[in-house]
Amino acid sequence: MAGILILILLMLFPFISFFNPYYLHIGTFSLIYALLSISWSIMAISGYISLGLASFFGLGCYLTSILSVSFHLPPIITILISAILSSIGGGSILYPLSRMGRGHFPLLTFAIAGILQGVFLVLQITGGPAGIKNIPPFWTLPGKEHVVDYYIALLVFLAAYISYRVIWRSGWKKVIFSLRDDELMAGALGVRKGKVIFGVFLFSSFFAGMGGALYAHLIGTVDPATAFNIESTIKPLIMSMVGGIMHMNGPVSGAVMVYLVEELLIHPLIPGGYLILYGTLLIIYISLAPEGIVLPGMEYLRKGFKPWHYLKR
Amino acid sequence: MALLEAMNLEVHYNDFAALSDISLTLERGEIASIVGPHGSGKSTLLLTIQGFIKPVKGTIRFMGERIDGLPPERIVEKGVVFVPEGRRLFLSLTVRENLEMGAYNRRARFQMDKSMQTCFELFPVLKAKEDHKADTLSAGEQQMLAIARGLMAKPLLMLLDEPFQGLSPGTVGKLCEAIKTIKDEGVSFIIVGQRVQRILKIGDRGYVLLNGRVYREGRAEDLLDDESIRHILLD
Repeated sequence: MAGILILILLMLFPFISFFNPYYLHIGTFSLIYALLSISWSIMAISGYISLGLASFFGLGCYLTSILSVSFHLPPIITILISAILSSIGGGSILYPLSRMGRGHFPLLTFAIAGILQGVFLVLQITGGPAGIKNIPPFWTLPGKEHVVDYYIALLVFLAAYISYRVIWRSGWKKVIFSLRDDELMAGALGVRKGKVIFGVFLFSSFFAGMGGALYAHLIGTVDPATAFNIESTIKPLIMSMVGGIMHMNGPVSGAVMVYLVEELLIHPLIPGGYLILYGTLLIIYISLAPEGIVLPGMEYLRKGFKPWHYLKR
Repeated sequence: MALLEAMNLEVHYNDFAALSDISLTLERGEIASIVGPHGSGKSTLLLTIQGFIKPVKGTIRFMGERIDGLPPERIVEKGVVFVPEGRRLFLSLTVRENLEMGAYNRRARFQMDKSMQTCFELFPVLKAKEDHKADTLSAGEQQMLAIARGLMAKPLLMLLDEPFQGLSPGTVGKLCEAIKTIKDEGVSFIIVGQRVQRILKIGDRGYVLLNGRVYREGRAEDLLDDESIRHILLD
């Protein structure tokens, strides 16, 4: 019930916000962060913590820019192609890295993001450090561009969310969690762990690339510093953890809550103070609420707010 | 034809020979008890049979087929299930989900509901805690779940590594009862561990390992009375 209500609310959001460009912008970016959080979480629940989501976000950014600027393809097609290519790139890069052990994985993915940023800094055909400019927007006629952007982001987000939901509601969740808990034992019970992990990487990089591609068309320019910015790894990471990755809706609710707090509360008070917010949230997450803040918190409130339970401990 | 036949197995960890010249046979519905001091290669033997470690020499046949060299996930499909030391449950999954993961292999998947029924009859406590997370169970319940998860894979042979470690005598008694019930269904066992008395008592065949070699073998009961191996096992 609540799900359908939220869906209707998301569908009608442009009308509710009276087509205000600022609110539409916030809506669109909430959806993109929710998308990236899903992309990060699917790997995290399989036991692979990525510090290199920016790699595939950046690949998506660049691929869609090249395809739409040099080949004059319409953006709606290029985002799909670049997501597929990022997905293939993600699978083929991350899979060999995952074979080197889970402990090394975060740093190796971090290294990949660094290498890709370096490559695009020196690559002259993509404009070197200056990057690519004049990337066509989704809607060229003036007036309704923000609404179109919002609906495209919503469509992509729904595709990601529904597939994430299908994974959680089907037997795949068990398989993925069993790999996270004990990869060796899952293998001994017959799980083809290589195939499952490869699939997870494809899924994750597909939506990371898609998020990057959307971003490129929304902003209009792409350069190595923004495309492979560590922030597009760290933000989804903190958002997912704050939401609670062990809950199906955790990453999405975390992304929306954290982004709204950042944009509506922190930004007007302390411009550029979002790092304070992210740092604080990370500390609270680790020390007080290792299961996450948003969804576990809501569950806690629903069961009845009993602060004395905390005092006893 | 023997169910399991291991011939002249030799396993190396780097240069160190963990197992040398181990031969072992097991018939259907039999329990083999393997005891020996720390570092005698008991766990290594089980890991080798399940395919985690490849032997440098020797063969392992299961129902007449060579299984040495196959990956663990293929060996489990043939009907060999490993219940490891320390249980290694999927702690973030519920009891039911753990059991469902046990039946993951293709052969067992179609009979999942029926085997789940069997497991719950064998260990009623698991039925009562069906929807609890595995990490909320007590040590004894966890060991029951580990054995039940193995049973879900429809095994012909179960490899139990240290199944009684850290459990109360009462729980160990219950587990032994359960093992006997499973055995009567025609499942064979290889049980490995430090609880010498217990393990030899439920076994049919007994093996004493020492420094990666078979030091003594025979009927498990006879080994229990054998004075000459006391000093090795009671160290």
